[in-house]
Amino acid sequence: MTSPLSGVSASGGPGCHGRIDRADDPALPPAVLVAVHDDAPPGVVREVCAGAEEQGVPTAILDAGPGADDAGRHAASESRLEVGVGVGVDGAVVVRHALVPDAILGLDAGASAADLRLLGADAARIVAGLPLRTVG
Amino acid sequence: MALVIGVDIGNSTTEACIAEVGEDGVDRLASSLTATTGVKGTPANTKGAVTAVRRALSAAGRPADALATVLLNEATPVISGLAMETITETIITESTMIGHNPDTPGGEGLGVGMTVALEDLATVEEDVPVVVVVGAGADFDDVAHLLNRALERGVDVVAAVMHGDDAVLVVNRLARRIPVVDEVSAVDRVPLGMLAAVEVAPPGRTIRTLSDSYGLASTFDLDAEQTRQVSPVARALSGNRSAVVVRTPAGDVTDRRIPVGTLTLSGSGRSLEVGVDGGADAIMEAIGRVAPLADVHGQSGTHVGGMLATVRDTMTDVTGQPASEIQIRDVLAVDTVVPSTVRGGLAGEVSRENAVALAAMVRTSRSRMQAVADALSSELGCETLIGGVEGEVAVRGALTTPGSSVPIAIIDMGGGSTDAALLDRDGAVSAVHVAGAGELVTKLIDSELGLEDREAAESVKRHPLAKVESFFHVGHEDGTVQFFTDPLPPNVFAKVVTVTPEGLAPVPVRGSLESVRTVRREAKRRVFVVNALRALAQVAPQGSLRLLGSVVLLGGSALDFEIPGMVADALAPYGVVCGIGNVHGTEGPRNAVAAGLVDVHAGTAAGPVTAAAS
Repeated sequence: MTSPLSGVSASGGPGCHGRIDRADDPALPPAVLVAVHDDAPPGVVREVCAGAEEQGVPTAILDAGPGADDAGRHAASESRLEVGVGVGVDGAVVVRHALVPDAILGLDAGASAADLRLLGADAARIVAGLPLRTVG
Repeated sequence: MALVIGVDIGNSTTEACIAEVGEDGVDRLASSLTATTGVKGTPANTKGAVTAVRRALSAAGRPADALATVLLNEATPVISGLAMETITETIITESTMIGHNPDTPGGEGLGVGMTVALEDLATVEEDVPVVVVVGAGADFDDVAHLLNRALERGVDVVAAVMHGDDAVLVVNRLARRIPVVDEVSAVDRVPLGMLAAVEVAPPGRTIRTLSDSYGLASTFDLDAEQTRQVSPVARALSGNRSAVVVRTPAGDVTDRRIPVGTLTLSGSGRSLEVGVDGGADAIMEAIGRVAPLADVHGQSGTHVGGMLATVRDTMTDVTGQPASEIQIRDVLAVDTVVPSTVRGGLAGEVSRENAVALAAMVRTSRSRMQAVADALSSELGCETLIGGVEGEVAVRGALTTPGSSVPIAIIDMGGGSTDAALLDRDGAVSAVHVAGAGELVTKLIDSELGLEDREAAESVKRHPLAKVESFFHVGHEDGTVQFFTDPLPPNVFAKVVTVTPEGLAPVPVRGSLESVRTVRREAKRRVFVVNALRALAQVAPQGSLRLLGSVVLLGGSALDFEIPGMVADALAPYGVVCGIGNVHGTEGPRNAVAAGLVDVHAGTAAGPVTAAAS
């Protein structure tokens, strides 16, 4: 909403800085990056971004390859908040932290909207330092 | 040289100490520890005693047939019980109030209007202030669209109440920033067509209007009498970041005391009745007035009455004594708070209700140790002797702690009862058992944190806390920061955890580390510190703690990371030297009785030899 990039097509809603080309743009406020394949189901991206937005943490969208895990790794390493979400072409989702070798959270393709929303919220909660809700 | 083993059967653990006893003294070889089987002082103890003996033998590398004598303590059964009565409750009638704290309410400010369902928004007239009620399953984009359309049409949408966790999402999409409270699970029970107020405070603040009696009066135009009636609502909402209040014709929030029966205390030739709902102070004060307590009865049909009856029945089963001969000689009452779900609440609201926890203890002089001794003899094929009055042997064991001297008192803080004994300069030993110990502490932690998980409560009791700050570091409760080279698992991320030898274990609470720590320390203080002082006062000369000299802490609780310090701090003003026992300078606070039995047998016990139990 207040993003300097608010003119860019905001496929993730008002909490999302929209699709970006380069993550190191100094004009882009720190954000959880969501790396998405072009053919990934848009509904998945919407729910993940909504989850983060409800927590008050901004997101931005990057282009990525077909695999969710590689996309997540790329997003986490590019994010200044060190948290990234990868959405695969099949709709699988992986949440990663730049400094943690293993994936933090993940959902297989076909997860429910509610689960995707919670996963997006948890990605934001990693940034906020709040306990995650999808793990015991 | 003879191979001798001392076996101490305690309430929760059975300890053994194996030694060679000869002309020139005692050569202790090894010790062992196992859980007590059955109630202390009953034949069921045999199994645990045999295990302890076998373990000590194997630790010492000796065959079973080398054993000459088994020494048993004269253990008498102690049965303790615990019960809790909640004495206040909050009831919301006719759904007047939603006082929960969703993590992420939307917008901020106060909105006052008529409640209307989202589906009926199209029929609302212009310029009428409305609070929109959004049911389950509504999508945030659709909700925002409908609200924006109504706003364009001139409807004065002032606030919203939602079922889903969508408040921020909806507010971000609205043309006007309004307060929205979400995660209201029973939103369908919010009455429609009624005047309602929704308040959301800015981040880091708490609501100001709905949590104030006159704020409610101004909001709903109430007269003095009505304001008096709604003041419980204000109290119930204070400290929240968001709240909803609906004014319904007969709505009410009541805050009432639950009658939970009475205790009948008898002692010093009279008997007193005290209401459990009077709280712990009133109960303890009444117990003081009839001291020494001879017996306690509870009203049947109450938790406390049931607990006291169970304690009596268990002792009857164990000893075969008729229930009429069994007297409850001590009770400890502790005030506590229990988070409980508000009856009539719409969002799983929780209020902190007052409760009283009660520990009771009964002991008997009728020991069945001879049966245990006979069973042990036939099992192990050696002589078994019963010797040493409880307390006395423990004091003598404690006296082997380097730096201790007569007069010496011990405190053994166990699971069900706290025991104290004093050996005075004349060699006389007096001992008492008081109700309340580790189990009560676990129960208080469990209920005050609302864990409903005994294991988790036990872990909070036993281990220090830490807050996981990132995937690579934790902040311990003393402020120390510890870094890890391997990332911590996601299930402990940002959580309050207990630092156990097996690793970090999450504590399932929403509160801060500090609040969990306060609950833990307060529970220990109200039970262990209070009981240590209470028990010592009963054995101290003329009841004066100043005359005690030295106090040695024994038993498992003496190994706790903070209890010994808390007890020592509490005793410091009386000029008492208090510390953790270190039996024979090597055994720590364990094994005082088992080692003491061997020493008494060998005739090398420290301190005056002629001892009289009182």
